[in-house]
Amino acid sequence: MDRLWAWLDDRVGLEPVRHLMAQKTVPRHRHSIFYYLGGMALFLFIIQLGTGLLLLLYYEPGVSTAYESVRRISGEIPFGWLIRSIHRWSADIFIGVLAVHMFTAYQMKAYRRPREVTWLTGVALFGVALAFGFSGYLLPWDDIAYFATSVGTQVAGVFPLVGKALLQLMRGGEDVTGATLARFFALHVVVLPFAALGLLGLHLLLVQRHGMSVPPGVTEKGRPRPFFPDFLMHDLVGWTLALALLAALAALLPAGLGPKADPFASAPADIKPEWYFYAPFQQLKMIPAHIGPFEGEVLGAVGFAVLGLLFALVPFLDRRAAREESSRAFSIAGWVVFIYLVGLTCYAWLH
Amino acid sequence: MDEHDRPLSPADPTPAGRRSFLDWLLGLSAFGTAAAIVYPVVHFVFPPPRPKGRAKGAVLAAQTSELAPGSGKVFPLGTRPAILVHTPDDKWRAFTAKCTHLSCTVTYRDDMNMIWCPCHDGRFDLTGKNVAGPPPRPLAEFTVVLKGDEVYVTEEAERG
Amino acid sequence: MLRLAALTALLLAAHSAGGEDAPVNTCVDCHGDLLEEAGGDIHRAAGFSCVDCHGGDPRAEEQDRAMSPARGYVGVPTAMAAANMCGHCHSDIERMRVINPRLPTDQLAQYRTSDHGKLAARGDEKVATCVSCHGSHGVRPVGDPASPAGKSRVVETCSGCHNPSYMEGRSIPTDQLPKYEQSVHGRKRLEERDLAAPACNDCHGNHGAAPPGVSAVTHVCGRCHATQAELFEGSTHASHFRDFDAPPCTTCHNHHEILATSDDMLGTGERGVCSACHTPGDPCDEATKAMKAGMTRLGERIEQAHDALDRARRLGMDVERPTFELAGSEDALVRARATIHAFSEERTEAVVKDGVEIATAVETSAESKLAEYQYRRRGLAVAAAMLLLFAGLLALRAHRLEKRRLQDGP
Repeated sequence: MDRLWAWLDDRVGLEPVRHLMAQKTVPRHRHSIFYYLGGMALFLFIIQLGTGLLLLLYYEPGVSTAYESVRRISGEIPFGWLIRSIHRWSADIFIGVLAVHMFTAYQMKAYRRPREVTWLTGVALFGVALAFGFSGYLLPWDDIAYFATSVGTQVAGVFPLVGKALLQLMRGGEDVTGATLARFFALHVVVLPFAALGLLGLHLLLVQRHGMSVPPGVTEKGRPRPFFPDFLMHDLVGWTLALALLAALAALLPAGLGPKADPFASAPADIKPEWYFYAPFQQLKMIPAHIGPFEGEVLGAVGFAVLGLLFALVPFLDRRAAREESSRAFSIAGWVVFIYLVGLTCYAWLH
Repeated sequence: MDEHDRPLSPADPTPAGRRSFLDWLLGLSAFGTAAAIVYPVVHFVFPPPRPKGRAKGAVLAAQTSELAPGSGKVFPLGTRPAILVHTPDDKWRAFTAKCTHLSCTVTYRDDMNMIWCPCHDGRFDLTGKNVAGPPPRPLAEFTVVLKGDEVYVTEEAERG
Repeated sequence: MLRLAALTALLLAAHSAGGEDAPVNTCVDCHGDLLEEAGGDIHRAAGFSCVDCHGGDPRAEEQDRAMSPARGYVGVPTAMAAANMCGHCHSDIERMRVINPRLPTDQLAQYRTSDHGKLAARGDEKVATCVSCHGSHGVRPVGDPASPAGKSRVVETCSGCHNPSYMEGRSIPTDQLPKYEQSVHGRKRLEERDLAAPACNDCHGNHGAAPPGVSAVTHVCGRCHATQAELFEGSTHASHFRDFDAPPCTTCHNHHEILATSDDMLGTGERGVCSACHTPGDPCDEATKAMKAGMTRLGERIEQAHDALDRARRLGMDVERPTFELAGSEDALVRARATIHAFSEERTEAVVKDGVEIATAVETSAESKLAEYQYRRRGLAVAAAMLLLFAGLLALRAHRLEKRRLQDGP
């Protein structure tokens, strides 16, 4: 073992890596439990890569093959139902974990100097995750997928000026057709994975470089915990439990498949997007048709875009945190927005 | 992680025997976990054989030897019934087997050389045209492909 | 404009022909509008002119001479005269063979037997003749979609006279159209524009149009509904209906207002049609109850099988084959609904039994697919146990490590 290590070290240069790992620590304080969220998100992302790759062995994009191949995966291929269901459930949980990871990082002011770029890559990764979810939803090409995508892309169309072009770009034409399926597939399995891996690499590199952020005004308890093996072992416990949960969800509530998409059929009653789009979806549904001189829908869509932009730029707006001072205004604003979004999501869920 | 497992401090309360049993169990469960992941993946990667006669988009409807001229058979085209006809003048034709009246399954009647619906005595000639009884329109035709002694019917390229 | 062009063309034609036996037609000097109306007329295209139907002298310049009865002028023929005039050529087999050998020549003979023809023979002027359905100056072949006698316009043409306002003062009913609109045939034909669905002439005939007599009804309906007609004629009901002079088919299904059928029509219940002759509790009523119960049972079994297939399909199971097989059960239900016209409990039951057997088999195979789904849950239990054991032991190990760190700590 030692000889193998020496041999590899000589040729690859492993010693700095080992040194880095040995040096890496995680601070201990009353909020340190939230440091596990990033690792959990990473694990779920790896699950998505793995199961996605497996699904790619049998999935055939195209109007006359997509639905049939998904049906074959679910019905004929051994454990196909499992792989597909895990991919589906893991996507949901992944986005949930990312949302909480982002919210806790926000409340712990982890975005302050020198971690602004880490924050930006994190927000971008969340955007990529949402795009993953949206594009992946269409791929089975069943009725719900088809109509959810029709409605979802419609929302993009309400943006002023760029809306129409954006709609055309997303759909690859006027309507959701085989052309839409082709570009969503390309997006889902080529563009987004590249983007995600690039951003993720940068994100992790920066986390290594800067270490874990300790929130301002929080005192550390005792010596920091070594990352390896202590922290990783806890990570592993969480990952194993997550995997058990995914397997249970897949077996008890497997991913279904409705009737094949039929553009001429009428849309199923109360069509809903994936849960992570509930908040904007509900917002657009509840907003009045006209607010002053503006159309309510446009205002709602633009409002969400502005909110996202403000969120991404928060490191540059929060000057107090940058000076290591407490910034209660931002904490409260964070809570208000969080509760508002959770409220909307729950409302859409129940209706 | 063994790397950091330095010899136990004397203060460790766990007896050595129990500790080694726990370590053994940990190793076993790690192996079991790995197996629980690898087993489905390996099975997934190797596809089962395609059910016989189901090439892409086409269905093996019959062997040529199965149907003498002047006979026909109903076969499943996906979830829907279809009928393959070997006409007395040695042509192969396939139609949907759903009668255009009330969707009953039609059959071939060799005594009248017609496609016949048993529900209401609807009759179609061997080009699928409705010629008697209540059916309001002809049967939709499918494309037949002869390949060696196998007769394939394609699900697409449906002609009305 | 068109008229002028037509006239010019005609004049030019007359001129270029050198005036030998050019068809000089002074009729159009006054009746040019009729020439225009006759635009695509099949007779005009075949070389016929005004004089061939109306008589008179088309070469005469003066109106008095041109339209003089002495020169054969007949004017506008009405009623029987009109029919006879058309029949003059159309009943002439030798003549028609030359012009269109496929055209029948019995129209006039048929017309004479029709109610229209009988009234016309008695001098009724308001009754339908050839021109009422085929038009006069713009006669088109019946296959032409614009022909009022063609498939797509025949209902409109018949109801043009058979309505309350035109028929005022006559004793025949005038509610045929509203009734037909409610019927299965009318809905298909008028709402779905399905030209294969029967219209007025499919039951009443064309030139010999008349209400089918009591004895003809089975044949008329049976032309399409052959199975039911055959079963009915073979049943005891056939002779009973004859004895009571009750028309078969329409006694239960109405005429014109032939509504979509329902299993509730069977028996003496609220919508039951048997109560006209049968009383609740008589042996026949009991038999129909059993037939109805059988069909209801089959319908329910099909429904159950569909549900089971749906559940399995939603769980991602492959149920293509059993879905295909279920069609046999649905066939049986349709067949049972035809078989009741034999009014035999056993025969209906036999068909129902076939269907129930298929539905049961399908349901069983759907259930076995669902059982496979349950098997997955057991597999999950094993895997989950393994994962939880691993997580638990790992947590224990981490805990031990943590404790040691605290002891080793500063």
